[in-house]
Amino acid sequence: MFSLNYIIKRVVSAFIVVLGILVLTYILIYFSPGNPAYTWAGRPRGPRAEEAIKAAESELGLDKPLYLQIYIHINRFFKGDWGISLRFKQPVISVITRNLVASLELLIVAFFIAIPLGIFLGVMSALYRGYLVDKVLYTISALFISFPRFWIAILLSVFLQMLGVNLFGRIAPSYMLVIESVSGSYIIDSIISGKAEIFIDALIRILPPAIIVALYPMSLTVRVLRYSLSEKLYEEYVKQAISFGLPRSRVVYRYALRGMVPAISQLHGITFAYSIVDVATVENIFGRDGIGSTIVKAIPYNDYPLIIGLLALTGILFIVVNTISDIIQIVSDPRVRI
Amino acid sequence: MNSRIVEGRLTAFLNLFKISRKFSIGFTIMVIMAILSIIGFFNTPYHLEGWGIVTEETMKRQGLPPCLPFNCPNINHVFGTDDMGRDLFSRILVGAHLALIQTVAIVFISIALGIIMGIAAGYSNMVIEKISTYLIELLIVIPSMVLAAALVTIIGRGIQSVVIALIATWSPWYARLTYILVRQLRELDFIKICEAMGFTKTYTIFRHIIPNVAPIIFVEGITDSGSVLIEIASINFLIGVASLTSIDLPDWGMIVGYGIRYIRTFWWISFFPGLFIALTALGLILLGDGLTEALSPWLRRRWRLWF
Repeated sequence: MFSLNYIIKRVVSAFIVVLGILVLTYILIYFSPGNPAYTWAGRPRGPRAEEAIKAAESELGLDKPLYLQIYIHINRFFKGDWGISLRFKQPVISVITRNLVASLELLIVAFFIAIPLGIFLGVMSALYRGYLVDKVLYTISALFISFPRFWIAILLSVFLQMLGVNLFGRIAPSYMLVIESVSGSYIIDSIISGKAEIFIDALIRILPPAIIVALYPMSLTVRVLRYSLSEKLYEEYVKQAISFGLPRSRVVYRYALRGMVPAISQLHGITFAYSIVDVATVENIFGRDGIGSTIVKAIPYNDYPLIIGLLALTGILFIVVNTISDIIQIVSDPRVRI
Repeated sequence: MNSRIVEGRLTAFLNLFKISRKFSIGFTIMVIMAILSIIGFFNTPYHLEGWGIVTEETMKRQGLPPCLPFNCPNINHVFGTDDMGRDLFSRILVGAHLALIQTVAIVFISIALGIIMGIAAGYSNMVIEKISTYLIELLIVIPSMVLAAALVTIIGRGIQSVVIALIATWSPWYARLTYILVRQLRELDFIKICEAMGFTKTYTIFRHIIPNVAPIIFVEGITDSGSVLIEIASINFLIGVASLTSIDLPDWGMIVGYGIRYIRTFWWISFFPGLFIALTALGLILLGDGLTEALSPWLRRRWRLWF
């Protein structure tokens, strides 16, 4: 059941894809607007510009053959030397990690809302398929999939403003100086430092954006479960379990749903990648830090090193998520033995 | 003979409306959107470049009421005007064909590329198969939003960078689906017989594999196109938020993104384009759902459980 060999193979292929992403980012650097060395040196002006460009050129290794350039690029990446952000005037890696933690916080909270709720509503929809409950759930999930999440977020933010509730930002500005940053995520930091009021504040502020980000994975789970679980419920083993006199909830949740775990884990591996777009847009509306607001700040400045670093790191994040969901799929499905 | 085939297809198409209500609702919405986009392509009630406050003289010449910035929705401007005094309804009308063309182009090109990549991965020699599978795996993990941002800094703001980024990230999904289907197909007897009879691989691919794979991929593509539309709008939203000056391109997502800086007071700038995105995406998703249900009869059976 637990095949270590396959998992090692999967990890190795994931590593190859990481190398592929780094090569791709190098290709994008190579075609960057203007001279890559000029971009990398932070678009210097003034008397010492020539020197800075020369230094960046030797740093990137632009005078060497292409395969050595790519090797140098990958080497720099693993050393954590990704250049200086043009907008923030800080090392790219610190800007990205700070913002990626903020986005991941939102994304993880959203998935913690979406998965249980989606499974519950999907089972309801499959059990009562053809009844009113199912029709209502189908309509709601179709609406939540097709309505752009940034639009729903705009409506919700305007509604909250009309109520006079201010839930913008990640925590209240007065707490900003009180808390010391350990992990970058305010929820975890407040638990570490043991400040209950900051924890509650951060949690309340994360809730409205998280609910909106959760809408898409939740409704997708409902739709997938509705199609596939209602098929499963017609199978012989369910009939037999019912005829043995087992309670219905136990049959559905314990036996029928177990067959769905691989499909659900695969689905969420995919939607995780799709939801990052939603996170990026919703963050901007609720005034939170994160990769979306980073991109918005980077585009007017043509902050190329930052965008390239973001591309590499987000790609690696997706690889990790995909690998984890694949491994869950293998562990939960006894038929897969490779 | 020929007319009878056409007639049969027509009745089959009309039957779709009888079978599935979702299909008919989705189809109606999409037809309305298509008509709006054609109207917007040729004529709009106001000039798109209604810059600033239009003087009285030009008002008389055009025979139109004035375009003031931040006008509320009223009789003259159904959806209000934006910060430059441009009529939002005209901009939405022009944006309709942009949105539809972008969506259709992305879905079609990525389906074509995906089928090519998938067949290269599934029905060729070992080396190409390995390379193609790794290429597919690489393209799947690229974040479309960040790639679009990188392309915006290279090529410049406009629809082309978003379209390229989305084609690069959507085609591997169709490639993966094609790969799975081709792997199943090549184990079947009729493909093996083709190989045994000495047909070339090209002939087998065009004559037997693509006709079996393409319809499934196309239905999948129609279902996905709603998500594609929203992804385009989301990326354009970010570009709109990022832009420092008012944008000329009347893309729906960009208008919404640019409008959120005025959202506290002038809500209509963001509200109406977003509503149109939502309606179009709803139409596409209902169309895809209805088509899937109508084409697979086992989905149409009675689902009530006995326990």
